[in-house]
Amino acid sequence: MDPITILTTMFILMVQEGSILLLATLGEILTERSGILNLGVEGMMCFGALSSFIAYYVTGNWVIAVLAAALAGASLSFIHAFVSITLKANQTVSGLAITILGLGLSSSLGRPLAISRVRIEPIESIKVPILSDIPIIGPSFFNQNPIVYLSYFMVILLWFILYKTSFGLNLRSVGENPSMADSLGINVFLTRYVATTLGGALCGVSGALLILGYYPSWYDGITAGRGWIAVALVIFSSWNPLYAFFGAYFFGLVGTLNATFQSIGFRIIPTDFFRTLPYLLTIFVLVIFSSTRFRRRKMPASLGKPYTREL
Amino acid sequence: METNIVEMIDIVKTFPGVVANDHVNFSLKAGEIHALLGENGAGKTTLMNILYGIYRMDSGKIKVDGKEVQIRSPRDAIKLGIGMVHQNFKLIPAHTVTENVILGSEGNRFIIDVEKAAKEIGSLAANFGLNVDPLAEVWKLSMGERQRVEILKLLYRNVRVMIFDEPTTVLTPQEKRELLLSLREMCSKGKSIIFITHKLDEVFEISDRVTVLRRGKNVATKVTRETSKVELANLMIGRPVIFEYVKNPINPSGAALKVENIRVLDEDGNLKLKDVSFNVRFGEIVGVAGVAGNGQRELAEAITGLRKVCSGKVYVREKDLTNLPPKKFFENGVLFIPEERLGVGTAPNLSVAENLILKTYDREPFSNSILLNHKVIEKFAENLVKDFEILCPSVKVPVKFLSGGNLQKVVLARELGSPVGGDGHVIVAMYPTRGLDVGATEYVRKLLLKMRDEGNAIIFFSEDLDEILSLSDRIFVMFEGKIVGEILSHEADIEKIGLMMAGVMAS
Amino acid sequence: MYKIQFFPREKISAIKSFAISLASILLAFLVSGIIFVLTDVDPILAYYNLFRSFTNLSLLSESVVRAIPIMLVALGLALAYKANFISVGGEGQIYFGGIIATSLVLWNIQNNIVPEPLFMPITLIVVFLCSSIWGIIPALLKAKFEVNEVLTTLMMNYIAQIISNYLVIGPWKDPKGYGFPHSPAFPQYARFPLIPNTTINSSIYIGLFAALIIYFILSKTKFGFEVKVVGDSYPTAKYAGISYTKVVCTVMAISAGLSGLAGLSILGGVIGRLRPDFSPGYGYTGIIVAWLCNLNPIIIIFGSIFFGGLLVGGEVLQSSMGLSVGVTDVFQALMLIFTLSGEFFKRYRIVWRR
Repeated sequence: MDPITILTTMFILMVQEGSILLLATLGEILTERSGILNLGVEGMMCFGALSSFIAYYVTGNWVIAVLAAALAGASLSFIHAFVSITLKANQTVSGLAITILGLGLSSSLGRPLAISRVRIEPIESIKVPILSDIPIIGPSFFNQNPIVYLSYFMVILLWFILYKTSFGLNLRSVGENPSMADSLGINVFLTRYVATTLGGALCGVSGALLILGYYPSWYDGITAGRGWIAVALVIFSSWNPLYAFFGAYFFGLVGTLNATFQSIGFRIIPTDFFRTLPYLLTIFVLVIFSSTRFRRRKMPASLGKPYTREL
Repeated sequence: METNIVEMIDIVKTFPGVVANDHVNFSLKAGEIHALLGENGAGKTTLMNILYGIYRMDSGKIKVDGKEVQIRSPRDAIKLGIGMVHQNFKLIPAHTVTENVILGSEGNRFIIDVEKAAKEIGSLAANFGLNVDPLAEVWKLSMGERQRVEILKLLYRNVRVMIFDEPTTVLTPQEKRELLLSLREMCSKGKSIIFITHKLDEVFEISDRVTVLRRGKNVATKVTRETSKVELANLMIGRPVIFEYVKNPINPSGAALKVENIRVLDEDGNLKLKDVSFNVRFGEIVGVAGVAGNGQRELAEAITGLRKVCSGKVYVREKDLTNLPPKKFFENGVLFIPEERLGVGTAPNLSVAENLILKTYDREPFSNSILLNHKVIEKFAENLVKDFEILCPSVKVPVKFLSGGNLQKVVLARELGSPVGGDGHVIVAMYPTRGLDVGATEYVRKLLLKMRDEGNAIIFFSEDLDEILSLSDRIFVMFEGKIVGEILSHEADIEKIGLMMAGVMAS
Repeated sequence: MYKIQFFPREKISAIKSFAISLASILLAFLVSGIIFVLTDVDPILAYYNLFRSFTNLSLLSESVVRAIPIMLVALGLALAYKANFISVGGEGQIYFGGIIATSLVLWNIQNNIVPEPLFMPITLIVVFLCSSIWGIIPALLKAKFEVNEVLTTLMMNYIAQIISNYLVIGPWKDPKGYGFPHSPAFPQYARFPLIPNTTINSSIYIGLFAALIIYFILSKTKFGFEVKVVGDSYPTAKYAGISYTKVVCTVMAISAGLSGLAGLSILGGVIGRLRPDFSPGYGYTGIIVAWLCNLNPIIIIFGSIFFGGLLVGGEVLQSSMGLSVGVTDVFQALMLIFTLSGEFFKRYRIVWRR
């Protein structure tokens, strides 16, 4: 196999895997930027996958399927929002409950599908003219299904919303200092509800991409921990949508590195080492960002803490 | 210059137990800088919080440009053109200057043009002599620069009246000079300024008129040029108080606590204590007067092991304990009654009994090697509750349910009722009677006197000058991180103390 | 227009508190029941099957077996949470414990140095100590660098699981295993014997012993007192001279040590060898159990058995009614959500106003 083909295959796999992670990461970034920690990504992704599978099977229309996934993710995250924001519960535990709920619902509701092994056709890829002819990058980034293109668009959209609109500025301020935002007349609760629900919708859509793009039939546990990886990715990309783009594909690449190196017979170090790399790096990044010299300026300061208005 | 841009008429505001503003009249003329002078608790911040909409007055009227208005929130105040720069900045460190300034301002479209806003802010800053980079991230800025961001927030919203609450407490001398210059700049460009302070120098440096508040009342409004520091100091402090406590003659002996040239930095790296030296002897009470924020907290923490000194020495009973951990100070007889009773002095959800052994849990008889002896602890707690007359349903009740006075008694009982470190303790108390009712206050003061008579050394910090005068044998006055005066109480001159508290050195 | 306001409660009577907890659990039952009905499942039958594990002796036995690792993790977490150190690292610590245990077994199979009767005691100690070290890392990072412990322990979970799976598919794969990814079987001396007449292995004694130890630490020792102070108010602890670093590191050492033992108990008590993904999320179940049982070690014993029973019940549901085991997850999650919601009503009282 020549290097170009190897690289191209690697990159195609990287984009496939990375885009799924990207959508979920973007959704969680939106949520965490408002100060809410939602550990339920894995559950939302799975439930979104199931919902979109059913919707696609029934209607044959991938747009409706994506909307179904978004709705699924949003419903779960809305529950989390209510428990965390209005009822001010422990967000870590609530997020875990959502994960278990999402996984459980998917498993139980999807069981007949898993047993009967219903099949769907993956969504067709659309080739972008000219761009898809670039060596290596072309076939991998520009010959994918529409949801992948949606993920590229979401990166830019989210970046734009967060940094170029007043809604985004308000949202970031709520995540940094909710009492200050409150005193300026910003509705902290509403902002957090919106961020959490929309974030959950994106996580649901990542599940749609997972199943509609790459798997012909449903089975239990299809998400395989990707949701948890997305949670790590949020930290790794410093809560920034642009870095998330690179981070998600880096994680996606690392996922393929293992297989790739094995296939070319790389033996110097165990290739599984590469799989631990993203997590080690994340810890490293956390230590640097947490030291007071860097004043913890990347993590939204109110992340995970319920907000009560002081009277 | 004759029109009153703001008039506050007959303002009354009470909080439980205290009348913060007692029929106060205050007016601000257009284009002037008006200083609002008084000690802590005089009511200055309360009055301005009412003007800015943070508090609602109980009764009274506010007029802006001659028309009566209702100010129910800071948003209302800003709409009327009134803005406030607080002592504690409300900024988001992770965001840029521009983002902080434009946050929440009415004119925001959905899409923000950051560059345009930054340019506007830049020219605003230049116009008013405020040197700051609009695109800088706030966490990188010095305190002086952050304050400029706060000021820009107000200027961006076109306020005409600007209230500054003790703005120089966090500034270096250089920054202070720059601030005063920019204040004059703003004034010449048509802004009117209210300047809350307790420092007389500043009053004379910057203000056109000055209003003095004392114990919630407006005692005088003067044209600055027509008054003097002595007159203002007198107005600030008032008449000398009648000594209520009979003190036994003292026989102080031995340096219980000796502090030599200590320098302490705060969290942001600013120098908070500048070459402080003093001693406290057994059998005497030293009262430290001064407006809060002049280094008292850092001093108290330095002499109890809760804060490191970057230079200098702290000796307890002639032993060098500089920079040792708090446990060591406690073992050598230093007892600390902190400012926050709930949440430093006590653990809120732990029981009364548990809080009473908070520092002695690892000694006989409360525990042996690894086990706690619950029965002994309970008995000890019950005895202590009786001795110190603490009102609580039982010693098992979480301490957060106790009233302020009883909480303070728990802290006192724990510190003073624990047989640790031999004879002759050093008792450090911060604002020991703050927020307590009359009965509890009496109790605490009598207790401190008793400790003194038993030969302990006491240093306490208070904002109540009467308290300091009546309890202390010696009085220190703190200002901007230094001890600017040391007086024997029977020679205490209210006027002089007032001047020192306000930053005027004894000549 | 109605206006709802809520005010913090000053105190709550034990009866009200219990009533709210009970209501939460009943609501979970109710909502699960509704979901059953909506998906064409007989709720009564479903609940009967779900809780069969508590009526049938052999199923109950199996529930207890499942409960052992859950218990160990939950006990360790209870200690950590008392110090307000929110570790979610139970899962990774289980895997790490499994790694250490397997390495000792394989080493001894090869070198035959440790005499057989001593093997288990030594392994217990070594697994505990090594897992402790794994657990101290996030504690130190928090104490020295203020790094968020939820995130670090979460990351370390992934790392441990990846290493464990790599080892079992790679260097530790059983050469006689027909290519299946599992380690050689643990020899008899490396296994926990079964309690006679039951299917429960003797590692349950470790779990029960751990519960007593944790209970003892928290209520009777000086260290337990320090843990409580640190967990209640860090500034107060600092003021009292209690070392945050010492408390947090010790707490995590014990917590991770126990979770490591959980891993040992799974491998040595049930499976008998190392396999990929040998923990079906016990580390996360432990978090829920610790939390639902209010961090009380004695209640955790029973809570773990209850959750073990739910896991078994899920399998019964699957085999008898064709439902997925995911149903128990749904039920667990709903219980948790309603309990969390109930906490709100315990902390605040609601006032309706016109």
